[in-house]
Amino acid sequence: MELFLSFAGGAAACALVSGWWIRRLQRQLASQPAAPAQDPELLAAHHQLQAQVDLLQHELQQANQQIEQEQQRLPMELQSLEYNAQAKTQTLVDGALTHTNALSASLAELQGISKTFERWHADMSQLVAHNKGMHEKNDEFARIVSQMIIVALNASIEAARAGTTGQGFAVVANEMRTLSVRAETLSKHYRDNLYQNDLIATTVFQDMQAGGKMVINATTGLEITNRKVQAALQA
Amino acid sequence: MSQIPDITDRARASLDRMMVQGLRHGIAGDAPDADIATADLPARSAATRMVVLSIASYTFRIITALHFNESPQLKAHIAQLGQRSPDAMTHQDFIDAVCEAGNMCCGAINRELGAFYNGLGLSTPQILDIRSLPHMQRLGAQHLRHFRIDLAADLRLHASLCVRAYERMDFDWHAQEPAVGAGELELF
Repeated sequence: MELFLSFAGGAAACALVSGWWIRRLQRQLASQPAAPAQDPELLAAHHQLQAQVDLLQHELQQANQQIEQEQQRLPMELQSLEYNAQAKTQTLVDGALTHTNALSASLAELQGISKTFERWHADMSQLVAHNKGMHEKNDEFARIVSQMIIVALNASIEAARAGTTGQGFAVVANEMRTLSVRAETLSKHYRDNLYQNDLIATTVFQDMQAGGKMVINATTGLEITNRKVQAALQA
Repeated sequence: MSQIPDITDRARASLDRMMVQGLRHGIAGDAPDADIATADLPARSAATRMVVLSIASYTFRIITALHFNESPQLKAHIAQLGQRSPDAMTHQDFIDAVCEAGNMCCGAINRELGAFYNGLGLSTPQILDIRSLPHMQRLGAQHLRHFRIDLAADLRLHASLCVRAYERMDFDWHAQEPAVGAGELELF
């Protein structure tokens, strides 16, 4: 395109210069007195000048023809370039729209992660219920152990009351009491661990749940931006 | 060995102020006369349970716990906040209302943190036995603070804030002063 414009400009400039030169020569010819037929030198000069004028007129005519041809070709070329540019832009827009549609579908799919959270919630509820059952069983175990301690204590008292004949039984009762105390300590540790377990399970679940909401919020933001891009592309 | 990310003093103070504002909003009904401040936990507390909520971010997690028991005083206070009669409030209504109070408190913190952090998420409330509370430090907390909430002469509650950072936390937050009217002449 630039090449063409340079060429057209050059041709026009050439035509202008040629025109000016022709007019100058014509003025020179007109200003000269009619060549006397008898002066061969003047006559030769006159013929030379006339030949130059004819040549330049011919060149000017050719240049004008070229300019006319270029003037006809230029709008057609411009139209062709515009058409190509539009086609390329449309291809790009179509491609971008395809990508935004794919992104939209992926984001909608990602929003389905909320179903996963519901599943986690159900699992969490099950875990809490399970822990509650373990708390109840441990409480029952603690009650049994407390009862065992009392029974062992009573056995020790009865053994002491029996005197020397109850010495063997006293050893057994004492051992039973020691075991019951150990069982009680173990039960308390177990209960403590269950409460710790409740806290860990709950906070881990909440972290996952809140993290999931964070993801959903982020995808919602992306979806809004994507819709804006789609609207701008379709405009 | 990886270094534990720190929480700066001003970020700790900001989190504490956010918690106080959240508690005032959630459980005190924005009452300006409610006395809420950081405090040590009492050796003996009447609380039997706590409502627990979490805020999650890529770089930290925050756990809040509002301690409570189903006392007639708290029930009356909760009923008053909800503008209903305590007699008409069932056990489940009470639990739901306490969960909502905890949710409003944690939600207020979440909202204020939004000014400094993107991508925050808030969990739903869960009720736990108060005997789980002593284990909070074992969650890897870098900032664990307890709060005293005096709602009336015969109604004191406690709450806890537990923060675990995975990256350095540094921000400065102060509650906005309530807008004071310019004393315009009202025309009726």
